[in-house]
Amino acid sequence: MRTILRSLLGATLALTLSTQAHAISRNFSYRVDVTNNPGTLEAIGAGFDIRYELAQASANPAGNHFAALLGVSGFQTFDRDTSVVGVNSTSYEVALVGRYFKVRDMQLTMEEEARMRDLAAKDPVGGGPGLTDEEKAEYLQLLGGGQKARRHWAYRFRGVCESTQDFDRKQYAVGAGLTAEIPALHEALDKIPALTRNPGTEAHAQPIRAHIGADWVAHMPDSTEADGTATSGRAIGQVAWGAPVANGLLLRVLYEGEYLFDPPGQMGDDRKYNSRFQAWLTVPVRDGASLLVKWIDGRWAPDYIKDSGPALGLTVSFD
Amino acid sequence: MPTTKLTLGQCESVMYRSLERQKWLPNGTTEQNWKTKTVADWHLDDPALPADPSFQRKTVELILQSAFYDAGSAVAPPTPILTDKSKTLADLAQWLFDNQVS
Repeated sequence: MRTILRSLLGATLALTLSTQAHAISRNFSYRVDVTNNPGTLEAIGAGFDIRYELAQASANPAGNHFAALLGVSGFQTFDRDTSVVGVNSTSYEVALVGRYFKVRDMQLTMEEEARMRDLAAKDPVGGGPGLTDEEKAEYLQLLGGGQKARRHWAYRFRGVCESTQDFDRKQYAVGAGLTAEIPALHEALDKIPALTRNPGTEAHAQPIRAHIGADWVAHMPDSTEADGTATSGRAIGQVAWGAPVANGLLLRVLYEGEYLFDPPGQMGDDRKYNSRFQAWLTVPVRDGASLLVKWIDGRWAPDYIKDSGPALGLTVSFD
Repeated sequence: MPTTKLTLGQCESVMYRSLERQKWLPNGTTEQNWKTKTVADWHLDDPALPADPSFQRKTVELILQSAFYDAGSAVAPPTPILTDKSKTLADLAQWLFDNQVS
């Protein structure tokens, strides 16, 4: 276990552009994070995520809606070492994304819609004269079943090319995935962070987000095979969560894992399961700049050596 | 089909109450201070889930679109506001008012 504090550097640039015409919305976004490479925290580089999405637009967001997605994401260290697989690499993705959303079982009647408008006009939040307790309860009831009744799932079918920046080593994957909120679990996990918050603070943790996926990966580099390639099934799991702690800080937790059912011979059978767990806080120092305190645990590219320990650094956000 | 354009006050109310109902207001938001709360206070997609880095932003967009539809109106996803951390909830309500589709 590595226990030496390592310096971290982080900076973020981000942009999202969005337009909508007729029944289609177009969204372009990019995000660039300058940081230590996520595998060994040794070299500095840039992580990037660029996406273009054509999405079905509808006045009523309930039910299933679909989008086509083009995405490019990856990481490159500034020393331009393009041979380091898994760190200095890029994923090129084409996907069909479906999104299911629901907050209620039955649509409101026209009379209920009118009643909702009347109550909204009386709401002091919007400058209205005020609502009685009964009117406020009626209003919230018209707004649907609340957090526990909410359903938001995103599912995708995708094709991906994962390669080094010079395309010298590459593999291809097709598969599917599902992203959703895990209900209720965050309330149990938030018991400890809540103890650190000031009493009466209007703060709460949000539901945990999770992603599971399965791919069929082909053309994986494998020097032990005659043709130099291998194929394998791959299962993917990711979990992300944030909880407010202390006085206005945010504890962030991120887990990424993959399981290769038949890893390439050059990686070895002990590399079937790889994962990385990170937990971190950013403490604001001055405008845009924060002190970063992180704990990392797991095995990840490029060397898959078990790595565990704290790290300390500085992050700057330009978004 | 949506046929009604809400007033600015109604937009502010529908925005606030729908997010309150879904427990999605930024931490520390009250009926007295909501106009000054910013997108940065929301910590949307923080940390980002690598497979869907804007999942929470889309959740908030869908909550708002659903609430406006329930009120008889319709609004585009407020992506331009929710991707600008300097914007306030007052800016969001104004954008929703300006971008209703009837």
